[in-house]
Amino acid sequence: MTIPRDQRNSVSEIAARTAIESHEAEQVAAPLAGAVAAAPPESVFRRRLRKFRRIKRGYYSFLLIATAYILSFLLPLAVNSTALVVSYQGDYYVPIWRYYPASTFGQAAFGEPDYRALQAELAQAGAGDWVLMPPYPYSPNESLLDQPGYPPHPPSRQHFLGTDDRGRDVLVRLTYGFNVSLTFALLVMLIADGLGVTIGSLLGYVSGTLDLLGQRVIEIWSSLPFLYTIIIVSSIVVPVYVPGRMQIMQPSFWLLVIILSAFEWMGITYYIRGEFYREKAKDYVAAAIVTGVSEPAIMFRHILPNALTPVISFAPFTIVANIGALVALDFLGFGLPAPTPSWGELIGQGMENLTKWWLVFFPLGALFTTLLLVVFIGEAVREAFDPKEYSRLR
Amino acid sequence: MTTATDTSDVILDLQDLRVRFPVFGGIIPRKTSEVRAVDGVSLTLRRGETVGLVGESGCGKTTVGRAIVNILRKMTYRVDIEGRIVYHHPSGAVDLASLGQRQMRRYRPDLQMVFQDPYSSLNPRMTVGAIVEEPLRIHTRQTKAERRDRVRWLLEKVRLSPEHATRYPHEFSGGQRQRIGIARALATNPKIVIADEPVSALDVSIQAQVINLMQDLQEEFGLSYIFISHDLSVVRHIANRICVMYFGRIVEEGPAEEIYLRPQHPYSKTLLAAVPRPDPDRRR
Amino acid sequence: MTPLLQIRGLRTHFFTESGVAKAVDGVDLDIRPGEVLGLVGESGSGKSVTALSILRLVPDPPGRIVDGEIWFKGRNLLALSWEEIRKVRGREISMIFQEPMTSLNPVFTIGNQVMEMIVQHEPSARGDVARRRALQMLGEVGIPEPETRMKQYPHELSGGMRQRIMIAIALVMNPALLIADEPTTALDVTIQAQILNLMLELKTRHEAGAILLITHNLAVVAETCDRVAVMYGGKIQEVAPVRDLFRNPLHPYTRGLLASLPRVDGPKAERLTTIPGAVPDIHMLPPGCKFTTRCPERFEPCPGLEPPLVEREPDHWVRCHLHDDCHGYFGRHS
Ligand SMILES: Nc1ncnc2c1ncn2[C@@H]1O[C@H](COP(=O)(O)OP(=O)(O)O)[C@@H](O)[C@H]1O
Ligand SMILES: Nc1ncnc2c1ncn2[C@@H]1O[C@H](COP(=O)(O)OP(=O)(O)O)[C@@H](O)[C@H]1O
Ligand SMILES: [Mg+2]
Ligand SMILES: [Mg+2]
Repeated sequence: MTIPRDQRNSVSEIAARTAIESHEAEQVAAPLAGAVAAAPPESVFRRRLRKFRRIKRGYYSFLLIATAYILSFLLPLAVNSTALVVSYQGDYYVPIWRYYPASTFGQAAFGEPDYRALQAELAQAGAGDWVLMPPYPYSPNESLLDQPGYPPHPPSRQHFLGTDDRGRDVLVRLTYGFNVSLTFALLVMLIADGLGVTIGSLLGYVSGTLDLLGQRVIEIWSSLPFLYTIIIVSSIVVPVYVPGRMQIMQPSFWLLVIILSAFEWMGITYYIRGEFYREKAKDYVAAAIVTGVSEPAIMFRHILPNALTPVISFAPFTIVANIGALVALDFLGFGLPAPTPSWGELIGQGMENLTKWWLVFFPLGALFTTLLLVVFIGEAVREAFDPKEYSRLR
Repeated sequence: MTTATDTSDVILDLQDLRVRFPVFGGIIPRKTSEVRAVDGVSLTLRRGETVGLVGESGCGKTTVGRAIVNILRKMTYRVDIEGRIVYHHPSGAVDLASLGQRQMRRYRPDLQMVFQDPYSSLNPRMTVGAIVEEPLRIHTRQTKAERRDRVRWLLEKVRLSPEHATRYPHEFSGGQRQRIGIARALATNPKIVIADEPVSALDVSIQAQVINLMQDLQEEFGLSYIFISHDLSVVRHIANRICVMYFGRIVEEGPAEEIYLRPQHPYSKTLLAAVPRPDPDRRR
Repeated sequence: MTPLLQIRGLRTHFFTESGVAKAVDGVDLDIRPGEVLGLVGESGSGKSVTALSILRLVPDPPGRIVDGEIWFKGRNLLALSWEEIRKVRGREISMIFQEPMTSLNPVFTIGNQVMEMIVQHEPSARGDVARRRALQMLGEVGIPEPETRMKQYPHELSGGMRQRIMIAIALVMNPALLIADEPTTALDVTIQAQILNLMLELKTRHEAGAILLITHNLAVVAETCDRVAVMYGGKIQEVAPVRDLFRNPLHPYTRGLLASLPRVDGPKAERLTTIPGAVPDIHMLPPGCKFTTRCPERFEPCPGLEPPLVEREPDHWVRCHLHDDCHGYFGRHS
């Protein structure tokens, strides 16, 4: 059946009365839905970042923690018993950079010179020599036994937060401990998530027999008791104490990181596996296969970026958990080896010296504040990643 | 049905296609039963023609479409496919059903697909430009500049603005997203496009835009369509021939108008009678 | 005839990240006793939000009913206490939704969920009484072997069956108004026909009941409704008895919608007629007529001035400057 050309669009009465000629109508290009057409394009991630920034409490917590953490790597410049610069008999020395034996400055001692004493000495001699100490001139592992009475000493002009039962400055140990805690938490998260994402992606993408076997292995692995393993491993592998400034380089730190990671990757593995199953069934993956995209590209370029949401939204809570785990292990005595400045050890001291309020109050306060800030971040991240707000479906 | 006389015209020929999904159960998983999603489907598609595949949800339409573009084996852990899917390539006929993913690669540019859900069929992390460009990167040796020009050209063909290439899918409406999907399908100059419910998720006024666009593109590029839909009224406007599917089989096949005017199979009759008409005098 | 339900100046806004979404922005609508009123429009036009506002089910936050009155049996529903509105829900006005999958609770049996509705509103109807009424209702909505079905869980039933159960739950208290929000959109056409027939049949059985049928499908409206309201951009654009609307659509939007419908009968159009463009983003609606951006017949007053809803023909209301003789002078609704 043919319809005369001029009548094609006027099949029904209604269509005839509509002044819209179809072809011409479509040429009126549809404006961009959503944002103003002039606004720059915005990826999903940017959009979430923008949303995160707008949640003030979480965003400021993030800025605070991130800044504090980055600055904590400069702690030796600000909180240290080693002098920054010494001017001695016409020569300049930079002890913060290089090691000098005590004899260099005419002190009758072995090992590191006592720069605080040297500062007093040189000032008294008045020969124009001087020592530039960091603003808070105490080290985390230094027992300050020159104070009157027995340690722990209450807060004073020299030691703002007092000293612990071995005469070490609490403020110094807390600040260094902050760096240790966060570094530990971040490393564990990095390794555990890396492992979890890799294994989870493989199980979810390949599925089938590999998935079945993988799940069984994970189930067996996750039934290993964590605490016993730590105790057994730490009693077999005797921590080797390497003297030096960076406590973090000690092997037992890495041992702890690895043991904790080995117990932590399973959770994220399940999430990623699930995400892969869900994403794999979506049409954009079908479209990629129809297009002939290679297997690795489908897995890493198409699915993985869409499957990472749980990793990011859990990250802050993982950090909280890791800090907590380290504190608990230190508290129980299975954590970092003895002189490492650690929050758990300080809290343990507080337990044993309940009457020394500064040993109870300050370590717990620091822990509480840090965890609270990280939880705020987590809350904001979760909110920012909630798709509800801009889902156009329905 | 295939006749010996006019095979030169045929571009795709399904012969007794059967697709079964085994169902696993038990502690040690083993096959307990199976879903016969497609149970003996034969149909032919001629050059420049549109075959409409209609039926209610679950009758196997999507599975037929996915079998043709040979993605079932990759999307599902276990699937049994029998029968032949003969594609008449200029260099000779091939049975797509027997090809592995590697051998299939050669034919991928010729067979493309448009998907139902405008929200999940575009990767939310990729820009529109990257989405449309991907087939070009895989199947052509064009330079970056050539590819960019082609993407812009394609976007114009589907009546989007070339500037939209830098944007992300979530910045577009459903109808616009469907056009992006069509641009992606057209990128490699396909011969056959399987459109799986391309307008079912769209509003009526937008449906009409997309259908008209698909018709224009068909004319311009000489495409052959298999147009899958559960909506008989939509199919009528684009299909030359219609296959009515029911429980994995084609129960009736014929020229489009014939099916609407004189449905033969009882199921076709029921289906057609159930479609509501925009006519207030035909009250329930 | 006094309307059963009168909506006056209803405004429901959503306060979201990207600004205030005026999902419903000044809706006036009457539902008369015993009628089936269709509410049609493209997705995002505010149909569901209108329905949710009637029963005060708008998610808050981000949504809030900022203005308006809804009169039902001499009471303003928007002024009722939460306790009072809870008694209205299900008993006097009930609602069924689009997804038959998610609107039933998967952990309770069908029987439990039907009886729950009865017991909640009539605490005296315990045990056997409620059970018998539930059984009878399941029979009425055409569920075979209601005895067995009572003990089954939602996932054991098909989509169509589940929608029947939803209808049973909605109607078991004999409400005066049933709001059905896209009740058949997720169903196949053959099932859709059954469900629509069932709803109409039940309505005739329960005399006074009225139905507000929300759908995007004009064909469904044509076959089932007595009157139709066309919605766009959070406003009612045209209201008319169903025959008037299909024979003599006044609003360019209504005409565009009708023209772009693909049909299974009548001569086949070579090309479908379309409405240009897409539904504008809810945050970017023009200050004047909401349809201006896509309207082929727009002229000077359209973009800036909101046309009033006028009764152009008996019982046929339209909101368009084309049909507003002295446009500009009725600023009442803008
Ligand atoms: N990957 C799969 N695994 C198991 N069953 C499937 C799978 N895909 C589809 N099916 C089943 O095959 C039948 C046909 O599905 P489908 O082709 O999607 O139907 P349609 O597109 O007509 O709605 C359905 O019963 C569905 O449950
Ligand atoms: N929960 C919500 N949050 C934010 N905005 C909403 C929400 N629900 C609805 N809206 C807004 O209200 C508008 C109308 O929605 P709705 O009434 O569901 O449309 P429909 O006519 O398709 O039923 C939508 O465009 C959306 O922007
Ligand atoms: Mg399908
Ligand atoms: Mg809705």
